[in-house]
Amino acid sequence: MQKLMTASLALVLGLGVLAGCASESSNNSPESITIYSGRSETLVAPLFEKFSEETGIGIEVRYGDSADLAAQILEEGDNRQADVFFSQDAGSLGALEAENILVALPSRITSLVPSIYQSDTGKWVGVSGRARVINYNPETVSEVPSSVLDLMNPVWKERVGIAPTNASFQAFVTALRVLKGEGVARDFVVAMKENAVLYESNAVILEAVEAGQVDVGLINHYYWYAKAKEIGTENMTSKIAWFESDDIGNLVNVAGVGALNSSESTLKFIEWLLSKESQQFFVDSTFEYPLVEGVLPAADLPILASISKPEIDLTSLSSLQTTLELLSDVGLL
Amino acid sequence: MLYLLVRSLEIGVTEVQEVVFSERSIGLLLNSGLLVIAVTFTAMLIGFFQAWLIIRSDLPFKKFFTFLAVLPFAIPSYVAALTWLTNFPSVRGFVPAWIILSLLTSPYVYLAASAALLSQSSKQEEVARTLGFNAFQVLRRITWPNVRGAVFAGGLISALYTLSDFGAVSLVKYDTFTRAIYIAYRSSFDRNVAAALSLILVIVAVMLYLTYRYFTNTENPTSSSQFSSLTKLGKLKVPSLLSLGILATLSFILPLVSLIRWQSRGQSVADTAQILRATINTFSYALLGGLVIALLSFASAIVIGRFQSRFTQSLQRLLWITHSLPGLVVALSLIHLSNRYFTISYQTSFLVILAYVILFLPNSFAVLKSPIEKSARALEEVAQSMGYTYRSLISRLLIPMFKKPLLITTALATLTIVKELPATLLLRPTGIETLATRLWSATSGTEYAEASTYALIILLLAGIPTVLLTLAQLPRSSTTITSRVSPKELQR
Repeated sequence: MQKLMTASLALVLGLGVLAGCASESSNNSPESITIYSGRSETLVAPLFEKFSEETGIGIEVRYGDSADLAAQILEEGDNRQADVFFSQDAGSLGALEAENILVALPSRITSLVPSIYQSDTGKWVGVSGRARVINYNPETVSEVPSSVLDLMNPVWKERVGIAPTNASFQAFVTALRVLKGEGVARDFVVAMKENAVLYESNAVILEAVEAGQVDVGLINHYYWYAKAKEIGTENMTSKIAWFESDDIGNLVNVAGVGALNSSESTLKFIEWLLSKESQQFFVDSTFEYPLVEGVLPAADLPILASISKPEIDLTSLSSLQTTLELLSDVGLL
Repeated sequence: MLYLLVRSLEIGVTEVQEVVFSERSIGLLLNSGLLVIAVTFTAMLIGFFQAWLIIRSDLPFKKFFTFLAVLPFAIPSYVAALTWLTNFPSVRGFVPAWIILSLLTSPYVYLAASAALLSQSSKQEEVARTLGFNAFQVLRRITWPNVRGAVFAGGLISALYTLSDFGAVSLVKYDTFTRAIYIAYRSSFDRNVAAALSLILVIVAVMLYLTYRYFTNTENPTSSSQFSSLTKLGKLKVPSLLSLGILATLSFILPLVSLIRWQSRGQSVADTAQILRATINTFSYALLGGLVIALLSFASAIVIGRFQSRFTQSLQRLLWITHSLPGLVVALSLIHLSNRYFTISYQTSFLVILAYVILFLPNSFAVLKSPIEKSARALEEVAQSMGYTYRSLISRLLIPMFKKPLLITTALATLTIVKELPATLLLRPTGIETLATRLWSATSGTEYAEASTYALIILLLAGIPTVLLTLAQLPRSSTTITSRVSPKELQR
C-alpha cells in the first residue's frame, strides 16, 4: 500500500512540476497576443519585451523556422493559436496569403511601407529589408562578376560559397525561376553543384570567405556589416559588392508580418513594428534596411532605393515547393 | 496509422500512387535502404565484437570499456552529427550518416549480445577448444550460433532507429525518407505528400519487423549455468585494446571534446535563466513521461501476460506497429488529429506526454513483459486465497517483485525523452522550451558556444540513466538483471 501511495504521490508531484513548467514569458496582463516568430529569439526578444512594457499587452512567442511555422498554421486549420506571424522571408507569408489565412491590414498600416515591399492585397507588410550581395576576397578576385549567372562559368569551380538550406538562398532561386524561367534556374543550380562549396548559413559563408577557404560567397548584406562592426571595418579581409543593374543576384527580400485576426492588440503590435523606434532598432541591431520613411539605414549602407534590384512581386516567392524539388533533384539539399 | 490512411484517402488513390511510385520515392527508398543495411551490419559487427571481447576474453579494464560501449546511448544523433560537421566540414552525405548512426546504435547490439553471452555457459566453447578448435573456429561454430538471435534483435533496433532518424541525416544532408517527409511538410503545400511518404515508411518498418520475426522464430536454448572461462587474447590483446579505444574515441570522446571546445568559440552566451528553465522543463517532461510510461507498460504487461485472449494479442501487435513510427510522423499526426477532433489538447503538455507514450511505451513494455510472464502466477493465487484485495496484491506483491525491471523501464524512458527532438519541437506549448529545442534553434545559426552548453547538459541528464543501466548490465550482477534485459526493450 505504501508503495502505491508513493507512486501516486510521485505522479501528482510530477504533474505539479509540469503544471509549473517554466514558460519563457510570464504574462499576467489581461490582454495578450501570440506571435509565431520565424525571426530568432536572440534578435527580437528585447523588442517584444519593449512592446509589452510600453503597451501593457502581454506576448507569447513560439520561435521556429519560418517555413515550419507557416506549415503549422496551415495544419491548425480553424484552431488558430497565433495572432501574428512574423516571418523571416516573404515566401512563407505568401504561402499563408495564398491559402486565405491572413486578414487584410488597414490602410493606416499598409500606407507606411512602399508598395513593392508588401502584398498586393495588403495582407502582409515588410518590416525590414535585406539585399543579396556578393561577398568576395579582393586578394583573389580582382574583378567582381557582372551577373550572378557568371558564376556558372567553370573558372569558378569550387570557389563559390552557398547555403542551399538557407531560406534567403532558396528565395533567390525562386526569384530566378520566376523571372528567368525554370530552364535557366535549373542550369544555374546544376552549375552550382559543380562550382559551389556548401555551407550551413550565411554567417558561415562569410567566415569562409574571410578565412580564404572560398573566393566568393552569396549572402545577405547585413552579415558583412554586423561582422565589420564586431571586429572593425579595417580588419575585414573580404568585401561586398552588388552585381550590375537589375541583376537577379541583387534581389531585395523582406522580413515581414501578417495578421491572423484584426483584433486591436494585433494591429497595434504590427503598427508598432513599423514605428520609427522599432525601425531604428532593426537598423542598429541587425543592419537591415528600414522600410518606413524618415528612418535612415546604418551609416556606410547605400540607400535602398539606389540599389539596382530586379523587379519582382515578392508574393510570387511563395512557390518554395518547386524550388525545393529542384534543389533536391540536383542534389544540393 | 489511422491518420496516415485518412490523410492519404483525402488526396485520393491515384495521387498516392503517383507519390509512392514516383522516381523520387524509389530513389529515397534506395537511399534509406542502403543506409539501413550498412548501419545495421556495421552496428552488429561493432556491438558483437565489443560484447565478445568484454565478456569472453581476458581483456583488462573491462568495467571501463563497458561504460564506453554503452555511453553513446546518451548522445542524440543530431549532436553527433554536429560535432562531425565541425570536425570534418566537407564530408557529407552517406559516409558520415553511416559512421554516425553505426556508432550510436552499436550499444543496442552490445547490450543484447552481452546479455546473451552472459546467460550462456561457455562450457560448449571449452569442449570445442579441447577438441582442438582454434579461437576463431570456436567463435564461428559455437559462440555465434548461440547469440545470433540476440545480435539480430539488436540489429533490428539499429535498423528501425536508422529508418526513423531525422536529426543526423538532415544535418549531414543525406536524403532519406524521414528527411523528405520533413521537407514536404515544411514546404506548406505538400502536407498530404508528407502523409503518403510516411505511410511508405511505416510499411517498410513493419516489413523489417516481420523479417526479423521470421529469422528468429526459434528461441535459443539457454542454460542457466554461469561458469565461464575466458579466451586468452595473447598477442591480440594490444590490437583489441586499441580498436576498442578507437571506437570509444570516435563515438563518445570526440563529440564530448568538440562540445567542450565550442564553449570558447564565438561570443554567443546562453542566458543562465534560459538554461535553467530549459533544464527544468526537460527534466519535468522526462521524469513525468518516464513515470507514466513505466506505469502504463506495467499495467499492460500484467494484463497481456495474465489474460491471454485475442484482444490482448492484437493489443500487443498494435504496440509493435506504433513502435516503428518515427517521432516526426507521430507529431504530425497528433497535430492534425488534435486540431480536428480535440482542439483543447493542442499545444498542451498533455499532448507532448501522449506522443512520448506512443513512441516509447513499446520499449518499456518489452522490458517488463518477460519477467512478468516468467513469474509464478501461483503466488498471486495464494495471496488472493489468503484474502488479499487487488490493491494490496499490487502494492505488496507485484510492485516489490518487479522493482528492478520497473526502475530500468523508468530510466530508459527518461533517457530517451531527454534526447527526443521532433515531437517535442512540434507539440510543445507555445513559450515552453526544452534543452533539445533550445539546442536545435541555436544550431540553426552559428551560436556554437550556446549550442554546446545545451548539448552538454543533455549529455549529463541522459548520461545518468545510462550509467544506471550500465551498472545493471555489469557482468558481476549478471544473475539478477542481465538475463531479464532482453534487447527489444532498449529500442530507440
